[in-house]
Amino acid sequence: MEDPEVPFREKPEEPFRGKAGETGGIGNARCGYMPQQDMLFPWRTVAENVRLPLELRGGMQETEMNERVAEALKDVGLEGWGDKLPRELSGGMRQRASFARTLMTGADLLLLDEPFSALDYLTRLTMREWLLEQWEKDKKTVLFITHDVEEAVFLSNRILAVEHSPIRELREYKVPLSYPRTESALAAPEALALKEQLIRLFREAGK
Amino acid sequence: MSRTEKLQKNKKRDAGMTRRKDSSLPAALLVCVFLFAWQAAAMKMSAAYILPSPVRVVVRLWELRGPLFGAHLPATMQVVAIGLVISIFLGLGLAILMDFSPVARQALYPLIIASQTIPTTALAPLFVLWFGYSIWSRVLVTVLFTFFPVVVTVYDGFRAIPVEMKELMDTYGATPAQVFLKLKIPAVLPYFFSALKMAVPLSVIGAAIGEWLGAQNGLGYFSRRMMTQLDGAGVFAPILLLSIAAELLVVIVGLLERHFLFWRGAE
Repeated sequence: MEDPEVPFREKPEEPFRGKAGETGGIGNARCGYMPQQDMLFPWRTVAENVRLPLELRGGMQETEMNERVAEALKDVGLEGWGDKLPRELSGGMRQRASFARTLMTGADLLLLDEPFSALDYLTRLTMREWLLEQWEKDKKTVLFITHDVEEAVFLSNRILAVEHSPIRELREYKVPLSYPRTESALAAPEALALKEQLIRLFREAGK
Repeated sequence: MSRTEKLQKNKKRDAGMTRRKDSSLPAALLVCVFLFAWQAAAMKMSAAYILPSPVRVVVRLWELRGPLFGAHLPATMQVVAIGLVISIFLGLGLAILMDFSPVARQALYPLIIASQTIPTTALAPLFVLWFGYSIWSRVLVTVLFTFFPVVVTVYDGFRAIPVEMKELMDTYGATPAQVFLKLKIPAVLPYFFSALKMAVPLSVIGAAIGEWLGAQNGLGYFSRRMMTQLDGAGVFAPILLLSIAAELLVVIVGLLERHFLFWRGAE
């Protein structure tokens, strides 16, 4: 409709809220950003990559940095992979490392920019469930950007739908499902209804 | 199986596919074929002052080993070394400057390209005028040849850094100095080694050419002197030495590269 150059005019964004919790972070990073491509530095090991935000903050001892990194790697299920190079990891594992790195910023708000869209379908499904598991631990606020309506419905408690590019307004939809969620949650009639509604909305916007 | 284990299993699929190292057999065979053809042609022609056979060249190399290895090889290598060092610093400096400042890039890049279009042989008498037969006239010719691939390749390396990586550093609150040290330098290293592999043979060529045009020793100069004496094998011998020297330097660069770029693997 608006800008024919933007192939997907719809970009549902959904933050999920929970207790902010103790961040255990350092400094005052406003927002922890996780890009679509993992952007791990190929010349650094996984542990060195995850350490990057801590290095840039400065003022932390080597041992403390390594401890935090080891803990983060354990949290995301990459224990023992710290000394490997990014090229030795699969796509899903790299995104998990990227997530660990994002956590190191200590920010209370995480911005995940289509983090799973570069992965194959099955890995994507697994990563969604994994992300919810991770979120259950800290319940940080997460702003998750995606094109995938199903992903949006599965992950969030609020969906902010964007019809126009540039963004003119955000339409909010509440997701009537509770946490913790499993794959089967998507089969619930409320979930399906919401999915239909959103798809219809974007199809209309596309005309 | 837990989610984590499931994800770990998928990794095996994509895991490190290392390319088997290229065999050197085809290259070696080709060289042998070439040498045989050369030997045959030379024996047929039987005009040693035009086309000496490979055997003759090696014999002459042995005969001349005194002056060649004693005086001329070191002289040329000195020019190569100084020329390379200056070229690397100049090339890196210019690349960093152009990456740092778009204005500098607009001002310098065309001039850098233009510097390669000036025929060196025309410039060389100018250098001799300025520096006499001292080592600097030859070094200047070498630098002129050699700095160019360094600037262009390294600058290209800077431009190839994904902007998303820089943006990521910004979200972590990185200062420009941190971005330079932690992102730009390691990211540009592969390009630097590429540049080095080009620069090294060029520096040898540059030194030799510099010597033709304004020197009193060195392998290039020696080769020219042998030409005036119609000593075909004598012309080839220093050239052979030059090639071997360049090859050795390239091998050294290759070893350094393998050490510093351990993280690269198969592309």
